[in-house]
Amino acid sequence: MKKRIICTVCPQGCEITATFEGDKIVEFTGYGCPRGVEFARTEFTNPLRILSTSVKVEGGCYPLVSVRSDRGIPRSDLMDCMDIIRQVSVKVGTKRGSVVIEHILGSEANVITTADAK
Amino acid sequence: MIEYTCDVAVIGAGPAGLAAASSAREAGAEKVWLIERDCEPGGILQQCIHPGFGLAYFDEELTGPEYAARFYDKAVDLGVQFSFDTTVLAIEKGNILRCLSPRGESLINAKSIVLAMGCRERTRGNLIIAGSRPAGVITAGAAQRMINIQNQMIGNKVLILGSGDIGMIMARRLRLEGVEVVGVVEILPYLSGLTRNKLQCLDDFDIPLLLSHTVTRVEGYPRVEAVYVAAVDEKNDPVLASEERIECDTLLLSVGLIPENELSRNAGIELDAVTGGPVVDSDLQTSVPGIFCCGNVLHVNDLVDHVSVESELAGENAALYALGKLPSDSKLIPVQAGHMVRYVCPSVIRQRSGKSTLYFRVTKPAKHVDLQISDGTKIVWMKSHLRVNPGEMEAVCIPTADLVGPEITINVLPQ
Amino acid sequence: MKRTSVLIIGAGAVGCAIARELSKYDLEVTFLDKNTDVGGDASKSNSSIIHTGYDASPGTLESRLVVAANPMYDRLCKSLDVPFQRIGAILPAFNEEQFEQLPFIKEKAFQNGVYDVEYRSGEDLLNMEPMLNPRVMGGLFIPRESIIDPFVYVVALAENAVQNGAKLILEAKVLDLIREGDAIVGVKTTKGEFLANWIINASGLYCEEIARMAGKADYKVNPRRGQFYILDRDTPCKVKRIVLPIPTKRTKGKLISPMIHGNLLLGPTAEDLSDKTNHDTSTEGLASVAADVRRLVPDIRIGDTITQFSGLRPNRVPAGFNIDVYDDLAGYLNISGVRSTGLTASIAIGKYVAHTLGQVGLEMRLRDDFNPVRKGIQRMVDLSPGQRARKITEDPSYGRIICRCESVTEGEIIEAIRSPIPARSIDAIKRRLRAGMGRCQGGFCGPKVIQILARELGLTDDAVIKSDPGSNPVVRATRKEVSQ
Repeated sequence: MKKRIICTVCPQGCEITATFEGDKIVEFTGYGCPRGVEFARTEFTNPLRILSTSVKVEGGCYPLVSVRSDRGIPRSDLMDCMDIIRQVSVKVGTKRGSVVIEHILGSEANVITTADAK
Repeated sequence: MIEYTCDVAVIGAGPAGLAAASSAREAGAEKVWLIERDCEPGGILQQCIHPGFGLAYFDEELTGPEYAARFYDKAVDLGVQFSFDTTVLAIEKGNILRCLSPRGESLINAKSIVLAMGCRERTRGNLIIAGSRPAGVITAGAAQRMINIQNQMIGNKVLILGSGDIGMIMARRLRLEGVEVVGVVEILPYLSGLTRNKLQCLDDFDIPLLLSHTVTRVEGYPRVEAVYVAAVDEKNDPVLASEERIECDTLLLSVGLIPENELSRNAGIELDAVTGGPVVDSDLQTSVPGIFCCGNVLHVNDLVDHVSVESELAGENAALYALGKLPSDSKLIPVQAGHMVRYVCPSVIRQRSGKSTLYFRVTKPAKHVDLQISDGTKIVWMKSHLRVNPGEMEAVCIPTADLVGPEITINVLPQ
Repeated sequence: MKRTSVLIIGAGAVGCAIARELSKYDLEVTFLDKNTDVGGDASKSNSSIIHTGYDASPGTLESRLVVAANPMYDRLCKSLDVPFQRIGAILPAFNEEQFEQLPFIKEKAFQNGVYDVEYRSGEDLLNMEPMLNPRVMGGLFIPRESIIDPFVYVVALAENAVQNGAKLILEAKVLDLIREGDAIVGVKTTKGEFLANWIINASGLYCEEIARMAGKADYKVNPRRGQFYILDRDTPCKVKRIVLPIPTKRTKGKLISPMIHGNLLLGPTAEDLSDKTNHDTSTEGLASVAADVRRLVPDIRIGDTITQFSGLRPNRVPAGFNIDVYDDLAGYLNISGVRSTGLTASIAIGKYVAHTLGQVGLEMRLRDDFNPVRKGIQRMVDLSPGQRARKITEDPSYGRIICRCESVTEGEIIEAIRSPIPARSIDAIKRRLRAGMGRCQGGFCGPKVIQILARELGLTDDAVIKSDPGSNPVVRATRKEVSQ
C-alpha cells in the first residue's frame, strides 16, 4: 500500500510517497532531503504539532499574551491541551519564553510565552 | 513644531522596517530612525502567533512574535531610534517626514528613507459581494488582531472565503477556540496559500476546502445568518444554478493583500500596476532618489524570511545613499516577466560586480518546469523546479557582472 | 403657562429639519426615531445631491419646495458647519432622440423657476468633462446642482435643534397614536407614551403606517430601492460635476457624481420592492448601474469600488409631496410622498410646516435666544500645524490616528461619542467622521473603534454594536477571566 503526503518542513513542498507493508513503512520516495523522510515517518506514525494560542494576562495593558508548546504535541491531543490552557493566566511582567504549563497533558512539551506580558 | 534630522528614516516597524533599520546601522548610517504607528514593534507579526516563521532565515521554526522580537532586539542593540504611536502623515519634498503622535507634530529631515508600511486586506467592497450589510463580515487580518490581541471573538459559525495563508491559519485558530468552521471557499481551481497550511490548518481539523467556488451573496440582518456559495465557470463567474445556502454567522474574507502605498503615491513615487507597489531597481530604490522600499509595501510576500533578506538590502542601500556612497552610474538592465511569470521585482537591475536577487510569482501552478533567465540571445541562468505555485514566491540570485542586456527575461517553461 | 408641545415622528432629514426650525420658536419640541441614531432610512442612503428642482413637475408642492430650498443651503451649511459644494451638473445627450428632448427639459426648468439652466455644445461639455463619452452631441448645464455630506447634514440639524432645547428620543418605535375625541394627543412607543399638542408624521418610508394609525392613510407607500457604488478617491477616471442621464418616463436614471469627500458615486437603480427593511444589494442591480454609467463615461473603473450600498426611497401612490392638516382631526400634521428630492426639500419643509402650524392657530412666537450656529467636530487633518499642536497639547489623543484611510484621530472619535447626539455605534462614528469609510473599509480601525466605544460607553466589547441592536461584531471574549 502507498500513501502520499506533502512535506511541510520547508516551503519546497515535496510530495513524499510512503510504501507500506502491513503497518511497516518499507520505502520513501519523492523527498528532497533527509528531513523530509523524518517528517513523513512521524506524519504517518505519530503526527506532532506545535500548538500556539493565547492566555489571559492579569493586570496588563493588553488582555492576552501569545503562547506555544516548546515541542510537538500529538495532533490528537491538541483540543485537550486547549482546555487546559484556557484555565491558566499569567501575571503582567511575565517575560517571553517563560514556562506557563509544564509537561502539558503529561507530555514532554511545556507551554511557554512567545512575547512579554505587558 | 519640532524638527529633527537623521541619516535614514524607516517607516513601519514590522519585519521589513526592523530588518532595514538594523541593516542601515550596520552599513554605517549614524542615526537611523524608525517610525511606527502602533505602540509595539512587530507589525502584523504581533498577531501572527502561529509557528512557521524563520525556517529559511534562522533555520528554526518560530512564531510571529518571536521572529519579530529577534529583529527588534537586534535593532535596539544597534542603537536604532524608535518613535512608536506615531503616524507619518506625508513625505514632503522627497525627504521630510511629517509625523503626528500624541506627543505632537514633528518633521524629520532624512538623508534617505525606507518605505516599509506593509499591506492591507482586500475587502468585501472590492469583491462586490451582494446581499445585506450586517455585522459578521470581516477580513481575516482584522479577525486575527481581534482574537489574538484584543481578546474579542468574532463569531460562532464561520465560513471563510479565500484559501490565502491568513484564511487557513484563521480556520485553525477558530477551531482551536471552539468555533465552528463550515469550510474554506476558493474561487481558483487551486490553493492560494502555502500547501503546508492546508495540511496543518485544514486537513488536521477536517475543514473542507471547496475549490472553484465563490460567495455570491450575504443574507441576514443585523448579523449574518447565511451566505450563498456557487461554483464558478472557467471565467470565474458564478454558476447561479449551483448556488447553495450555507448557514453561518460570520463570513471571513482572506481574498488578497494590497501594498499600502498612500504615502508613496502622494510623494510622487511611480507605482507598478501589477504589484501595486513602487517600481524599484535592484538597489530597491524607487523612482524618487533616496527613497527605498521593501517588504509587503513593495510586493506581497509569502514568507517573512524573504522580507527580512530583501529589507536588509534596502536598509543597506539607504545607508549608502545617505553616506553618499551608493553608485548611481551603473548600467541599467530592465527585467521582463516572460512566459508564465506574473511579475518580477525588482524590474530593473543595476549592473555591478555583485549579485542581484529577483523575486517573482508564476501565473498558475505547474509541475516539472525550468526557470530560465535569458538576455535575448542566450540563457544566462537556469534551474529546474519540481513544482511552482502562484501562492509561493520564487527567488533567484544571479550574478550581474556578465549580463549584456539590453534586457533580460524570466520564463517558466515546461520541461 | 405650559408651552405648546410638538412631537415629530422620524429623525431623518425632514424630521430633523422640522425639529430645528420649530426650535426657533417658543415651543416644546420633541423628535423621536425608531433607530439607534438620527439619519433615518432614505436620508442616509441616497445620491447626496442638493437638487435645483429643474426637472420637477411644474406647479407641484415638490417643485415649490425643492426650488425654494436650493438657494438656502449656502447659508445654512455655513451656519451648521456642513460640507457642501456647488459643483453643478451636466445633462448630456448622446443620440438624436435624447438631443431632441433638451429643449423640453430646459422649458420645464423655466416653468419651475430654475432660470439658470443653459445649453452647452458637445465640444463645450467635453472641455468641461474630458472623460465624457465623446459621442456627446450637446446638453444642458445646471450650475446650482450641488453635493452635500447628507449624514453630517442630518446630524447638524438634529444637534442644533437639541442645542436649542429640542428633545431627541432614539430607539422609540411608534406603536400607535393616542386619540382623544377628534384630536391626536400623543404617541405610544416602545419607550413609553408621549403626549403633545401637535404630532407631526415625518416618518418617510413609514408615513403610510403612521397615517393609518391616524385614520388618514388615503395613499400607499412602496419602497423603491436604489443601489449605488462608491469608488476610491484615487480612481483615475473622474468627473468634476454631476453627470446626469436624460431621464426616461420611469426614472431619472443612473448618474455619476463626485462626493463631497472626493470619492465617486454611481447609481442608483430604481426597483420597486415590497419589503421596507430590505437593504440588500443585488448582483443584477449593481451590474445594471455599471452598464448604464458606462454610457455616460465609458472609462469609469468599477474595479476601483470600495463599497456598495442600497437605499429605499418612499414611492407614494398616487405620487406627490403632501403636507396635510385636517379639519376633522386636530393636532395632527401628515407629511407624505417625500421621495428622493426630500433631502433637498427638507429645509423648506421645515419652514413650510412652521408656517402651516401658524396658520392653523399655533402661536408661533420666535425666541430671542435661538442660536443658529452649530460647530462640527474639527478634523485634525484640516487644521494648520499650529492649531494641531495646540489641540494635542490640550489632549494627546488628538495626536493618535485611528483610521488611516481618512486620517481620523482618537480625540475626534471620543468627541463624537461625547457630542450632543452621542455616537453610540461603529456606523454612527463612521457617518460623523468617516472613520472606516475609506478604502480599507474599517479593516484597521474597526477593531480599535470597538475598544474606544466600549471604554467611553462603559460597555464590554461584546456589547458594542455596528448599527442596530443585534449587530454586535464581537460575540464573546477569546479568553474569559480565569478564576483561581
